[in-house]
Amino acid sequence: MRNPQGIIFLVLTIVTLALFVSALSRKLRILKLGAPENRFDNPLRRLGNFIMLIPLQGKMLREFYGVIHLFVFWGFIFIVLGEIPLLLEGIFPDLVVPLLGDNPYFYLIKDALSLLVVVGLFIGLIRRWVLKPRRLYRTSEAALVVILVLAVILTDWLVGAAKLALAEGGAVAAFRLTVGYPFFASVFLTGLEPAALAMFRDMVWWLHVFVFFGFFIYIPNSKHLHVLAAPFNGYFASLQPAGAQIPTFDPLAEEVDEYGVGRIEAFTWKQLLDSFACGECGRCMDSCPANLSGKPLNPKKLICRTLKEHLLEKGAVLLRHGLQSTKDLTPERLTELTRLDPEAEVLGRRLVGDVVDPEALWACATCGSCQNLCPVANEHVQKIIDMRRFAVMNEDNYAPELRLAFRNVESKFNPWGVSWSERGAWGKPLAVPLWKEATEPEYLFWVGCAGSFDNSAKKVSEAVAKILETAGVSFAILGPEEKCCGDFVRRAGNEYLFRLMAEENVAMLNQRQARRIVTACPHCLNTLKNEYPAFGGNFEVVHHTQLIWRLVQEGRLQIPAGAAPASPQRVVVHDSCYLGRYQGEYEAPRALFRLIPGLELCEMERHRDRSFCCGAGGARMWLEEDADERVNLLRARQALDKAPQAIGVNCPYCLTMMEDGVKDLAPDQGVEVVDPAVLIARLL
Amino acid sequence: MRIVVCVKQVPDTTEVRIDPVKNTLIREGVPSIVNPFDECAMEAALRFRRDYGGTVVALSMGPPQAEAALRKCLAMGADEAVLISDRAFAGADTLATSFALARAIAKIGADLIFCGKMAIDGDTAQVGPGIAEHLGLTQVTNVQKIREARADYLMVERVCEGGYELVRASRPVLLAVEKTIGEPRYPSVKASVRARRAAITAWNAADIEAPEEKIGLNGSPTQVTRIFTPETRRRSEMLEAATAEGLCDLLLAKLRDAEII
Amino acid sequence: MSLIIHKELCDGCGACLERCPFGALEIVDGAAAALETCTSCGACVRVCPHKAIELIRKPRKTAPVKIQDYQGVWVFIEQSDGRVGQVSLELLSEGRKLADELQTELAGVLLGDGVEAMARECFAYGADKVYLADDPLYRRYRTDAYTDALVRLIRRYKPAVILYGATNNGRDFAARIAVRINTGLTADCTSLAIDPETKLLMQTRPAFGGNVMATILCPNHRPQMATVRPKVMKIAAPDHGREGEIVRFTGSLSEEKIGTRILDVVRGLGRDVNLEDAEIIVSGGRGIGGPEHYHLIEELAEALGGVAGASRAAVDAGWTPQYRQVGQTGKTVSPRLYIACGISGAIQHLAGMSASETIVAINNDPAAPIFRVATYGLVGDLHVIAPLLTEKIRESRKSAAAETKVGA
Repeated sequence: MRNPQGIIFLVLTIVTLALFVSALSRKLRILKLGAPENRFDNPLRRLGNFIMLIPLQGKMLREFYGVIHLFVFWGFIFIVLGEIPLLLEGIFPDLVVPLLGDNPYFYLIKDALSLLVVVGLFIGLIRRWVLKPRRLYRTSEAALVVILVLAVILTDWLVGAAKLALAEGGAVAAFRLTVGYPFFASVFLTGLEPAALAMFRDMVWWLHVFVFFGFFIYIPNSKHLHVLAAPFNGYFASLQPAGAQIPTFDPLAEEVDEYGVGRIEAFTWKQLLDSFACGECGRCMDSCPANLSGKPLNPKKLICRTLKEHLLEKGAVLLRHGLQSTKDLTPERLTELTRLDPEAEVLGRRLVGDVVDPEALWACATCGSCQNLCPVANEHVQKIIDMRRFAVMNEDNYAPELRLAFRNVESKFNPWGVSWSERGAWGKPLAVPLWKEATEPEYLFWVGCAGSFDNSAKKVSEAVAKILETAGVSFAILGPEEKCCGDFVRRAGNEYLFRLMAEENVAMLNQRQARRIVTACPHCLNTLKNEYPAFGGNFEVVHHTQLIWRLVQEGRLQIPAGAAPASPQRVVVHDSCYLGRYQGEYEAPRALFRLIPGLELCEMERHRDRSFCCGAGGARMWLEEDADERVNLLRARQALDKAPQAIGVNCPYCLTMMEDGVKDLAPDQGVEVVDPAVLIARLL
Repeated sequence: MRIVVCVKQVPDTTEVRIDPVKNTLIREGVPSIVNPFDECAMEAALRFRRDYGGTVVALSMGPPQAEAALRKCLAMGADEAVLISDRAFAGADTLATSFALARAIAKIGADLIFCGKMAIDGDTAQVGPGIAEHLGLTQVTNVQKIREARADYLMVERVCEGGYELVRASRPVLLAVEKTIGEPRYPSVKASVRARRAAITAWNAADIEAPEEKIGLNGSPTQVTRIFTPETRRRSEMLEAATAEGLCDLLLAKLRDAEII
Repeated sequence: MSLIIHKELCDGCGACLERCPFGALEIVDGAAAALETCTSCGACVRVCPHKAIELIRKPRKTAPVKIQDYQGVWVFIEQSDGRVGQVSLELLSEGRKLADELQTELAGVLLGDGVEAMARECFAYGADKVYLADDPLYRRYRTDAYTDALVRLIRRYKPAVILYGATNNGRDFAARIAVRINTGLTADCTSLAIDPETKLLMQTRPAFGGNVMATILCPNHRPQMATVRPKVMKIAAPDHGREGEIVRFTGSLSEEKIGTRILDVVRGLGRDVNLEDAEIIVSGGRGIGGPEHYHLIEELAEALGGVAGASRAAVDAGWTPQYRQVGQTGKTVSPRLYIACGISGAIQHLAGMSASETIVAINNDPAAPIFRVATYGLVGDLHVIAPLLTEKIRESRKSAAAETKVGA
């Protein structure tokens, strides 16, 4: 390259870099508006997460189209690496970049990946614009980026082809293992004069530079910020177990004067980064029970559209006026600002209400499916809980039926408001001992509200008691001393009441010196095991299916051989969210079902960690649901499609919801909804 | 204008059980609550304040633990809370109780007093009228609705057999309210937090200038001589008859015997 | 502190702890001790096998009333719309027994406007005498006017016992009278008796939501006053030939001294009351089978003069509107009578209705959990039982109406 062109290129490079950096720094400054959060601990574990999620594309590869993303991801990396020698030519025509510029193996891989990217992009185009899955949005942004990437690859091939045709020494050596460059050289560039070839090479090179620089600037200014943000999001992903990710705070502390998140900038910077990292793949909405049952909640749209657009809009105005937040912005000041700057109107918009539809907020069952599938480790659920906290604790604006459930938990220690003193009544006929009267039992049986009061769930409690008794495991219940664990209270955003319940329960459990706890409710399990440690309660907590399976394996529980089972023969298994996704336990319930002689297990399409919620988690149990679009009916239909004689469950919420579903959909088919413990107890 | 609401902390009587062997009350762990009728009185006072202004003072008599009931009232929205507590108040019947409360109200200075119809542990409905008499105020009991308030009178609906009376009551006045006057609000978290931190005024017998012979056991004409548990408890009974007709007759006979229909 | 525990006598047996209705006793160092929550009710004194607990009363500064000056049993006669209230007839019957035991006279106290004729009814039910204040001032019950009149009468004639019905009105002014006279008043009694030795009125009443009964005395003040729960005392057979004396009296208040004025009396709200206020509720659930059968529920409710409700299952199925829903997410009710038809008794429903006084369950599944909370359970087809009940109730109403006509 000659000098004048070199200077033009240099200027162009500087301008491009400047535009890129300024766009990026604006995004960073917007992130810094968010609340602080420490995600810088444990660098090694974080690096591990990062490698799993980003270079290895761990979550992506769980479905076929993820392979294409893997090609595109690595293709992108190599194409960008390939740009280094290509662009440096613009300034130092004779420079050979070591490892890249003269490395035939590098070009071999890059060439192969470029081809895969092109194929992949075409498959993607067909998928998005011909097959049209609901989870993908057909936006001009998406189309533009495909065109840009194709253009980058094509111009690169043509520049390389021209070099080959000119028989430039370096190129011939470096490209000797490639297919693309020789292909384009032989198809398009044979028989041309060297001068024409050189001119063609320079023209296409400039075209390539413009396309690539354009793409480079486009990235931080579009949804493709994703490619820059996702790696960081992978690194900063939560290290807590799925069931222990809800942070607590003390509402009684003087310094806390606003509860939950009612302003976009009250989210932490990491929560805001989620929106930038979102690649709009839509896995979350495709597995969201609320979304699939027609509720106004769309987890993808919430993250990548609603919250992001509002963040960018409000963030820009905040930065322009040198504000960190709108927390202390008086209405007078807002009016004044809006008069000077009409766009400042965004500062007056309420996050919960104006920006986010409260109905969407309350549709979430906290089933965790979205987070489980998210390839960039976004944390959807906590955002919803944070906004619920604002609605409940700060604004006192929530459904009356939830208010009643809170009131009942507060006064009767269970959400139904049943007499508190009747809590242990189910165990009386079975002579289940009370903890305070028993002598050092092996296990504390934490029964839970449903297991204590709900008639179907009580049968599970009775079965568990019978099995433990048969296996010779000494155990006791707390009876009236047990109080609602607070699972739904917390997920409904009432951290104040949750703390009261948690503190009372932990104090009582510690006072009673309970160490090993078995519970028949996955929600209690999660709360006691994962959430009580923050309140000084450290217990070894297991689900009853886990304990029973262990007893079988240890030989302490023997299932009588040849017992004639009055059991259903074909059982379809439903995984509860809080035993499954939240604890990762899928085997124990299945293993117990398999103990039943002659029982055949079958699976639904959505099973194990892709299981579909029954619709009751996250306080949904206590909220009214539009009768036309019930989540439990969707799930019950999925189960009934397998023509089972029974639906196997392991959670009292699932039990109720599936029973209701079966009653509505197939009232005469006699399909039972059973916990494996109930079937086992029948054999004893 | 100061509005006083009298509240009582009571054991949640729906949670009191009888030990089937010893035939005694099981009180262990029974939560203390604000008497539900008083919660409604509180609600009525808060709505009155919303419509007509004023400050609402929650007043209770009881042991120091009764502060919890007052905090609940503060959480609901009371502006101030006063607890009169003194060992000398112990053993008070409704006469002595209403005297002590009347002294406290005189000290607070109020022209509108709300009481619940009765307390669920005592079921007497006597303290409200007792206070009114001690203070020489007009009273209206069984109030289900406040229609309007004027400077010198209130228009209220008082429940009577088969309907209600529309009563014009001159102020100052004491109202004892029915539950139907309004579902008590569930306090917001913010208000609960504020209430947990709030200061509660505590007065003893000397503070309200209550002479010893008129309070507590000494000021109580009635004496409890015996407390016992009733024998009969509700039991489930399955009715059996050969025909549906027989079942119906059996049921109607039972309901008539129990004077339910 | 008036409760004294003699530690040297106490062996820490704990009998008093079990008896204490307030949980205000504990065993400290092997002896009972009273906590702050002690109300000095004295329940523990009688159960102590060692007589280690004593209730000390400070000597009174005020001179006690001269008890022997107070004689006679009075019953306050409630009247409205030209009729003596049912509860007053019950009290006259009960008062007669008390008066006989005390060998004293029974008097009715009758206030109203043009009510003199009712005195005859009082005599028929046992009154020897009727104190009558017949004045437009007393046309309807009003606290100030009635309190003033009664207090004046008590001061003049000094009865030993006064009984009031524990009705809205009886409870309203009895408490005021007690304060003005400075005497005791026992609320809502369900049983009355005379102590054979002391001749004191033993007033027994439920407390703690009916979980315990307490017997209460008023030894040093007069009159001994009680309000008595309606429909508890039995009405004796009237003797229409009985004669008695009418003593006229008046109060001291004039209209302008009375703090309240009754501007209107609104009645006939019995029908379209909402579920929370209903005395009788008939609810239907999934077992009704379809919207076309919900009328069975409505008809039964109407026959009983009650209101129709529903479980969530019936509401969700669209068989009846949401405002009828009883349960956790619907209305919480506590009627005198709750009839659950075809309702299995899911906890969410029980949460809304288990406080009902009497619960009748009709269900074809004998294992339905609703039967566990039911006072009376009927296993059978509600489509047969409900219409049959409706028919039988209507018939008995008709025949009752016919009888009244014949009687009149």
